[in-house]
Amino acid sequence: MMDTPARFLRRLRHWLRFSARQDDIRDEIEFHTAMVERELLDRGYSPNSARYEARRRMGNATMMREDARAVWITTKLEAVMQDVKYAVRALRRTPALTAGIMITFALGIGVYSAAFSMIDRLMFRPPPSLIDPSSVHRVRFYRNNNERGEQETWVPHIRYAEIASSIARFSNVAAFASQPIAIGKGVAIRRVNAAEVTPSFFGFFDATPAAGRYFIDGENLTPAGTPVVVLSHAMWTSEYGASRTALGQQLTVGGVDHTIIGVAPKHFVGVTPDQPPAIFIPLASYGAMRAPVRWYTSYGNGIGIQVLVRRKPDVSIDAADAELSFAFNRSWRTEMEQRRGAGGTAPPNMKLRAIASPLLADRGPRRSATGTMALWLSGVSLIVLVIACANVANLLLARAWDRRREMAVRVALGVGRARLISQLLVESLALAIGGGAVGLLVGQVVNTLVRSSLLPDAASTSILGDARTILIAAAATLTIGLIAGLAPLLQAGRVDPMEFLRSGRSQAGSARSVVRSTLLITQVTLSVALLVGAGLFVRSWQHARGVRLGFEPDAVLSVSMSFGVPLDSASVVSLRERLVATAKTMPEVTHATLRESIPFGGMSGYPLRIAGIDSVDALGRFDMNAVGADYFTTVGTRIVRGRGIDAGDVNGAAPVAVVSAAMAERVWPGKDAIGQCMVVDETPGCRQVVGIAEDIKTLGLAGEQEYYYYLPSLQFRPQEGGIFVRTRGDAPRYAESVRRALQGEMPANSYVTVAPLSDGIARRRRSWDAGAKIFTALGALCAILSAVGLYSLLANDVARRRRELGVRIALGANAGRVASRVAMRGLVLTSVGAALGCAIAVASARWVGPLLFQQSPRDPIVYGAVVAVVLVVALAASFVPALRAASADPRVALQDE
Amino acid sequence: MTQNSELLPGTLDLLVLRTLMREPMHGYGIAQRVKELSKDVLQVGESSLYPSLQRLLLDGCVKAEWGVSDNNRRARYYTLTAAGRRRLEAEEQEFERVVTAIRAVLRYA
Repeated sequence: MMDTPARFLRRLRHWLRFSARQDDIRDEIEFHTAMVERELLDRGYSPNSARYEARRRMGNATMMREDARAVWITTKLEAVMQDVKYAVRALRRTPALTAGIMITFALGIGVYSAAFSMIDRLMFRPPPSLIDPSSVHRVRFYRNNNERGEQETWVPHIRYAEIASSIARFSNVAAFASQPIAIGKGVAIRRVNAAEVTPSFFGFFDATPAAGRYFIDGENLTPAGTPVVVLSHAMWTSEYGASRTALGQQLTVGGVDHTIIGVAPKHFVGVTPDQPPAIFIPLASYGAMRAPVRWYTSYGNGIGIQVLVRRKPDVSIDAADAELSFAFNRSWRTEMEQRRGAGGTAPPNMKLRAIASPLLADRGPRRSATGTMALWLSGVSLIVLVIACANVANLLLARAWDRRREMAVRVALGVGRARLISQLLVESLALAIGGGAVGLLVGQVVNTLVRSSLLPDAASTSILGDARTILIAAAATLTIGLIAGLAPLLQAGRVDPMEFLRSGRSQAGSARSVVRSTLLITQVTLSVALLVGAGLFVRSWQHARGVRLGFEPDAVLSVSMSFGVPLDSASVVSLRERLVATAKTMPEVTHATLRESIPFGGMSGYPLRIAGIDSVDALGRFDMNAVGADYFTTVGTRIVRGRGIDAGDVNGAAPVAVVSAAMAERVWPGKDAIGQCMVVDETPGCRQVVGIAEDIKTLGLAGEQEYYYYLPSLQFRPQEGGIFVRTRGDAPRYAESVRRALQGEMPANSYVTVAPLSDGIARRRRSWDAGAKIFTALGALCAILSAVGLYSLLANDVARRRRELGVRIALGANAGRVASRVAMRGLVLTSVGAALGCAIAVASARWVGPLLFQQSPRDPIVYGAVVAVVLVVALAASFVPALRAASADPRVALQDE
Repeated sequence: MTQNSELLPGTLDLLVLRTLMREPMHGYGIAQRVKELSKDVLQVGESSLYPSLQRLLLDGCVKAEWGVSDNNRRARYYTLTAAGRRRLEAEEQEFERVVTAIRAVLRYA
């Protein structure tokens, strides 16, 4: 009967007072029983027999209560509730299996949700509070002069200004940089993520300041803007206790005092969620600090910026691209005219285009290594999910087999098939939901691990606090819960009660066994494919670590200087000397020297002329470092022949140079380079080569031969660059003490930053490092899951054939033979899976290859090792069931009859 | 033991409602009254009485209140509501119709 509204309300009231109603019914029945008892006493029953008879007449009180209560429950709901209760009871009866299934779910869901959360943030989720994200684009600029193909190019501020003033299809345009910057002064100085933006930037967001205001156009004017700063909410909270008194205070940013004028709202990260800015300053203030005047006048030597646009509602992306490209070309022509006016030449045949690309960098055409790894992680996590699903299906099948008699009895008792199916489904969903909940916790852990290795700069994120991730995890949970639950369902539909009730034995196990074997092979296949990936990445990582760099970065710290107020050259030169001297007095420092550029941190190149060679450029790329005495000892580069730069190579002494071994061979083949002459840049006169140093890598770990030369810092741009410090051992440990000591030498409004030299190299190795970690961890996980699956399959098999095995052994079969046959079955299944897995790995070599480092994706050693490991694991998983088979006792088996 | 007649399907609610016409009663009282009035022919089983009462509660035909029984015990008394009276009337008419029909068949078949 359908509920009328009044009826429904009564039902609702009943449920709201559920426990009270329960008591009502119980008390009522108790009263009734007591009355019956009294009636019987009156009729002459003895007290004892009266009580007994009363209870007998009342029948099953529980059932009566249930029936009475059932009136209030709609039938369907009742059935489901019963199923849930039954499921929980059934699951508690087999705690080990239940735990195994839940853990499998938890691992699958955990890894998947962590991967999703990561990929979501990198590629799908627009930054918080961005208005209409689909109309916002990051503009990318490309140039193509046919020589090196199309390349993305950087944009100086002047180009942005010219383009911004000539486009009409956009409702908002902004420029921004996201360069870390130092804040504070003296020894308390530290680097934070920052956003250097035009005021229009804030117009892209619906983000009212939490306090104060954002800066305005009048504060972002050439030449130097106004020194004002907007704090992030996090910074405001941690440093100023979220107090409004922060407004109006001064904060030293990049050595210049800035006035705090506002606070961004909570969670506001601009457009760089992977590097949440701590402060926002006007682009003009930043430009003036970084490259005074040049920042807005120079096409070639200013500051690099990014451009953000919002399309007007009726403008298509194609139309947007067209207008941006047109504006870019016009700006380029202006630059070329200016260059020709100054007597320069313009590169011919330059083709330029600009496109409105997706906002999130990792969705754009140039994905970062992190983005690529995140994609891989999410792919791998899907595989893990499939394996988990197969494993659960396998375990559920095992469980269904264990309960075949129970099922048969229920069918015999008239439980409908539909009801049986809903029962099983509820069970598998209960497992999935339990596992999924634990999975979110696992996800949180995985997330933390993955982020620390892949995205060390990003603020940590929470999985548990994120509705999107939880929703996806829930969807995945239900999906695999249903899919995994389906396998035993197919079985349950076919239960023949007579089969069990007749003999207590199932003869029809083979069909199920095929299903389970297939599931197991699937698991092994995918695990092997993942483990091969793991092996390849581990090898790549080893190769990357093993690359001879030609210097020893682990003990070296790189010190850079920043000046809030520019210093004259002479002061900088003496300051650098002072820093070197101060560093050398520290007990933890063994050597210190001047340096101009930093390997893996961007090298310098200057025009080079050598007698007898028309164009040195045609021979290759020659990079330079201007260094102080002791440089080679400090960084650990060997001098092959001759001498290094030493204390005598000062301004006014004979100009000298040291060249790398490869450069000596390239420029003066067959001759002795020492004593040869080279002319660098505008400095006139011959510079004599006095030494040959070993080759170093400064651009990439792989790639072509690099040519390198060194000049004495004091003879070439002595005011440029910072210093290198060699510590006793592990450089990062001493970074802070070195920074403090050197900061003491710095004039007001200026500061040093100290970073391990190995940072730049670690960034290059990160993708292999992370790949090795992700694949190894997940591959091992899958192997373990497969081992559990194999174990359960064999154990189940042995249990089912216990009688047969017992009889065989009783008839004199060799126990060892019986055991080895069980183990053989495990090995055969595993081998089939391993072969398929290797086939998949070979087939996908084409896509994996480019991600590896000096490693063939078809390396037989890796494949062999993986197969060996998997077989050993399979053998271990088969061990216990095999032993059990060998010790099958015919008496026990036959007693079952 | 006396031979009890099974109730015609659907008549339990009718009997319960009719019993409550005179005064509020508890479950045991209802069962006793039906037994007495039918001279032990009709027995209301406890296992169907209480679900029936719950059903009538749900339909709003009766109200239940805790009170004190004749022998000073706590008992739950059921009272007929206006909706219950209407239901009783309808059920009585329906019962008469069925009984008349059955008699007609018995007489003329």
